[in-house]
Amino acid sequence: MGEQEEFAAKLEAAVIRHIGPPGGITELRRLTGGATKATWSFSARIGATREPFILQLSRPRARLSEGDALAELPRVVGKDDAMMMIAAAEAGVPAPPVRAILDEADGLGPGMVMSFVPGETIARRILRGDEFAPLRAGFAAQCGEILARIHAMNAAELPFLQRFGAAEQVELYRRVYDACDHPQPAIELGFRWAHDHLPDHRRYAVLHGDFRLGNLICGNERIKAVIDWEIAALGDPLQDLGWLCVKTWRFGGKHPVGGIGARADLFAAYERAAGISVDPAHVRFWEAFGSIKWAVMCLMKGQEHHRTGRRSVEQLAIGRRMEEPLHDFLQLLAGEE
Amino acid sequence: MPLSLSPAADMLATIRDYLEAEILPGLRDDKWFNVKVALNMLATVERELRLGPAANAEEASRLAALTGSQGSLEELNRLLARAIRAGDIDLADPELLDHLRRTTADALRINNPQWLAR
Repeated sequence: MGEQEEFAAKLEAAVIRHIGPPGGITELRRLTGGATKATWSFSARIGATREPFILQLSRPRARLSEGDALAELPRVVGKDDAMMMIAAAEAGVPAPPVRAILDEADGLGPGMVMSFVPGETIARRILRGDEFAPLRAGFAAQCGEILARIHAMNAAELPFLQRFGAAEQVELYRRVYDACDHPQPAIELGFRWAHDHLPDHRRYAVLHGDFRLGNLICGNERIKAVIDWEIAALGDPLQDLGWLCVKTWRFGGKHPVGGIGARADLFAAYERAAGISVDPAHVRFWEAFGSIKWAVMCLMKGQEHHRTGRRSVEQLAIGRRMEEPLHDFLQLLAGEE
Repeated sequence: MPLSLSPAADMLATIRDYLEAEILPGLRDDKWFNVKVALNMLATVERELRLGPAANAEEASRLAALTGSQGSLEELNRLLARAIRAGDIDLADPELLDHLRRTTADALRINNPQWLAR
């Protein structure tokens, strides 16, 4: 049996075991093969009907040396990732239904099977396609409502989430940057700025951590599912609002909220749903620091093959994106947009 | 090295054109995506060959002025980074900000020129 057939046979056994017979897996296609996880789509027969599914497997993190700052970055994987999505769905957040949490007996490593949620994740199409005009009209407000629901999730049920507030983040990302040992004056400036402008937040809420186009399955009219909960944590809720406005996540769109909507619409909807008022300057901190964080992540990605010994085209390319957020940060600093 | 033919930039451009015209259309999903990313990387290397030497020389001379030192690009960047962290240089120093903006923009001209048009 070839590798591919063996993989399909294991997956079929897992589907039968967790979801139901008779299996009969077809259309198994690898969609993405990232460094931290890989995603496949497939269809299987469950009873008399054929259903589309998504398989997501977490890859083990590269072995890190003792005291490596990277090891302290939040990472929600495998079973925890599935628990996160189940809890989100229960809290009224649109999330893909988790159908199976894989275990040792499945022999596929940590991961899960979800129902396939039809929709679009590619930012370029969502930003430009005529069919998404109704989605775009309500996008900023819907994001505000969804984020309010995420931030209201009960952290006590998610004990694996790490505390990661503003001060903790600035400190840890600085150590991650230091560990890269690749001095960048613009990043240094960013950390000093962040240190001097640290927002005072008392609340530690459940954060998605990477709420932006690419991680939102969009229908023509509404956001259908929020995916990729891998860096969820407990922190300043306004972080998620700022991250959504980071220029990188506008994907070339003109408007601040995901390239699509107005900040006022995002804030108003969030305030209505969460019952708290939003200080735009506080969100702005997260937008600016978001650019610095993304620059550090690019740096990390550009070096990752040194750590893992696995080279990937995608990762090396991300390394070369470091100056994009630095340029945006310097513009923000100069009061330009 | 003697001036061998063909020039590196021509070789890269030829590989890029071939992959784009003959290979990419037959691929899908993650293979399509990775080859697409690889094509962008080849274009980046082409731009680096063309623009890199001048950009590096200008960055080095600005760094030397800001730090008052001589050394490799890496050493000078290390010095400036340390000065920023230690608070030895004013964050609002226009010369510093000008240097950072120019350096970032020059890198973008190589890595992703479209970003500057935004």
